[in-house]
Amino acid sequence: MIIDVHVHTRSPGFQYDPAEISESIRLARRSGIDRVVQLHNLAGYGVDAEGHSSLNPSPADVVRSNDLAMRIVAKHGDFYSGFCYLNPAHDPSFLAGEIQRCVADGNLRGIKLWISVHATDSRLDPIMRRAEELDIPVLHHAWYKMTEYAFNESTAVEIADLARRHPNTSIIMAHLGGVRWRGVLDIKPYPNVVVDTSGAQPVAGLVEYAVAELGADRVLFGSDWPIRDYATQKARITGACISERDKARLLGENAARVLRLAAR
Amino acid sequence: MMETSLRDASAFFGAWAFAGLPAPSLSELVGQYRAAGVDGAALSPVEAVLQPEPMAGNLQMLRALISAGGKDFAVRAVPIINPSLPSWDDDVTTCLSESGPLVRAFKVVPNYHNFALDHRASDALAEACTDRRLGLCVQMRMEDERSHHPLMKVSPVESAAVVALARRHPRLSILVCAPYMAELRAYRDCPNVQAELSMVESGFLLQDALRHISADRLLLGTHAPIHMIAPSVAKLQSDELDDETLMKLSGGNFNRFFGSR
Repeated sequence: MIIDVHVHTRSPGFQYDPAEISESIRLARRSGIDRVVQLHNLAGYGVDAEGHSSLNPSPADVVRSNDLAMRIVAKHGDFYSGFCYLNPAHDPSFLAGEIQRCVADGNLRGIKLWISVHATDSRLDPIMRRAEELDIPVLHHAWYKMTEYAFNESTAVEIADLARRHPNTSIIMAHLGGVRWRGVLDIKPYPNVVVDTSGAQPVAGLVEYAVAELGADRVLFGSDWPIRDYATQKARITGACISERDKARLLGENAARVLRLAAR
Repeated sequence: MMETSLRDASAFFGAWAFAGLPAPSLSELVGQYRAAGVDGAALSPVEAVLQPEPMAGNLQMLRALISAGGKDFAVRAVPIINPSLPSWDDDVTTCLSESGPLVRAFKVVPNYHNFALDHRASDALAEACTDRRLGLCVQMRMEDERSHHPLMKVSPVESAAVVALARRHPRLSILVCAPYMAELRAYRDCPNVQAELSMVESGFLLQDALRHISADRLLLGTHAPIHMIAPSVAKLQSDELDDETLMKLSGGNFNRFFGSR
């Protein structure tokens, strides 16, 4: 089974768009992908009077994004898993309630943290502890950028700090293509962190380096659709100079383990 | 996907200083192409991007390609010319005399060589290419700007500058190398501008790209060996294409731009 752990939707306003979802499924299956993880809706919607934007969403927008993810999973459970998107800057009681609603009582199976606050922020700690209790992974955005840094974007060394603080919580660091060689070295000492292969261009040698340094059990296929293309991103792994056995790990076995798919 | 010839319109020979890999030899590079099903490529010397003058890299590459022969792999040499150097016209002549039919186009890297496409030297090179019925490749970027070395941040070439060059030289055939998807739309009404796919991507890749630029002007490109080859090849398989469009993108447009041998 080939599993893509990093997928979004792009229809504006957190709307469920059946045509977009069916097209996403068609393109993924055409590329041989059997299951994807819906993270959150990327579509920006400006800045409201209180300063909320897609980079720093309001509680109402978090609820809408998670409603969309749960609706997609409910309608297409044979293809989609979903993660609960949170903004750690929100009130802790809201965050706990949203995890309860969407994960403990709902159909989402992980938590997605993006760029609302840095991974070093202590406001992440209750979220990470609850993820440990629920035995679910937390996927956290990361990138090293020389330009276009957005809001409170985390680097890989900040993910390493998060992993050190929460050694029993499973963390998926997003964007190997963004954190690159330095990012691999940052998370190497923390076995509770895996990395997804998404992000930027398919730079030669990077997947091979990650497998060599982290081991083939700690690298997962992620596409970042619809920013990126399913077939193109999958070929980062199928075209890499690693063994067929390791390709199978990266393309699905590792994700099945991290997502606890067999156990549910 | 139908059986078709796959040809890479934009790749390099040599070692990129900011990559994590040593330079593949020509035979190693051809082996990587064959493994990905690609049977031809247009190569430029990557060292010529950063060295103080491009001819050392050009000549090293041309001699390697000539000595390799390349009977069953369709190589085109695309030497890099810096038209801001006083020797650029001699460099063009030397490359053509050294390699003959291997060269059907030249490449410029304006933002690494610190000249503008509206500089009179750019126009002179454009005229020289037009007069010789050669193409001109414009390298928009070498890397994702977000991942540049902190001491080597280089802006991409602006699409508007390419459009203006194309309009000043309507008989010149231009290939835009390493554009992003959003930049393709700038060339919609420039019939003498082609674009290659190495850094073009979206979730609806071919649908989006073909909305911006016609199938007659879109070419497979990989940016190898800086980038992997397989992901770019996979772009042609990412969605349904009719046979005619697939033939154009995979190799037909390459043969038209670089000449069929």
